Amino acid sequence: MTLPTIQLEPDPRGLVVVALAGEHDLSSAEALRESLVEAARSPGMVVDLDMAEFVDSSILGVLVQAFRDARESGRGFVLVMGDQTPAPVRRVVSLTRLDHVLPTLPDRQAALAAALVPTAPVDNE
Amino acid sequence: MSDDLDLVLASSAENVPVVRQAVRGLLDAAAVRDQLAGDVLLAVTEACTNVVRHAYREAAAPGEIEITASSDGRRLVIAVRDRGCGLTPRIDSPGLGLGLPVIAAVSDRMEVHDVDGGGTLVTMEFALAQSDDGAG
Repeated sequence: MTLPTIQLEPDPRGLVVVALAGEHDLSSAEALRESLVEAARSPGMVVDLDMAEFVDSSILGVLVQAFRDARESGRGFVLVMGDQTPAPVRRVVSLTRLDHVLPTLPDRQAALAAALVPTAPVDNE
Repeated sequence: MSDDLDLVLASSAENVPVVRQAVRGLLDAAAVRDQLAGDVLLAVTEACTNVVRHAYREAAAPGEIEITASSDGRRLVIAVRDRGCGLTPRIDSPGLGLGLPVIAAVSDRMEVHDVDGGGTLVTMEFALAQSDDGAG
């Protein structure tokens, strides 16, 4: 088991990348929520799941709440998830169809560019 | 069919990854293919999360999560039981309500019961028949 870590990485444009690594579940959900609140002080955030090995619905719930908050406050919010993201993470996001609710892009640089724009509901289909 | 895993742990968020790790050991020993193993671990995590979040919310102190897993080589059956408040509606639920739907989606069979003496029993069944086909 890989312990969960959450890293906040500032971007020169004022954005913040919240990078998850390891296995995340209810035991790390509150730490993630606090990190996302911290990141929400910036004009936009990118949540990078490329190094996350496991997430469950409690983590997805925290991400959805952060997305709602970003939308209500006019801040950017983009998820990074693509072919390089570990399969268990892609599986649960796909099962719950959250990739159709949360703005999702396959690489960090594209996500950072998109996060400069205030969040609006999107359909990635 | 003999019990391959029999765990009783305090119902706490910190124990959710502990359960997952114990089940992972079982799956590794049985050489269960990656995608199926991932589905099993997700389902067990969701079931335990439901216990931590809901089962003992009206109790003075957190209770326990009881996990059993058994396999006959063709199927894996995992049961997650609590002795909490049972199946009751919750209008202030802290989650997305996706736990049971996720379990239903990744398992081959799922049953949820109120149990005598109080609490809830979630039983999940997974077919192991393709475990040696190299898929996943």
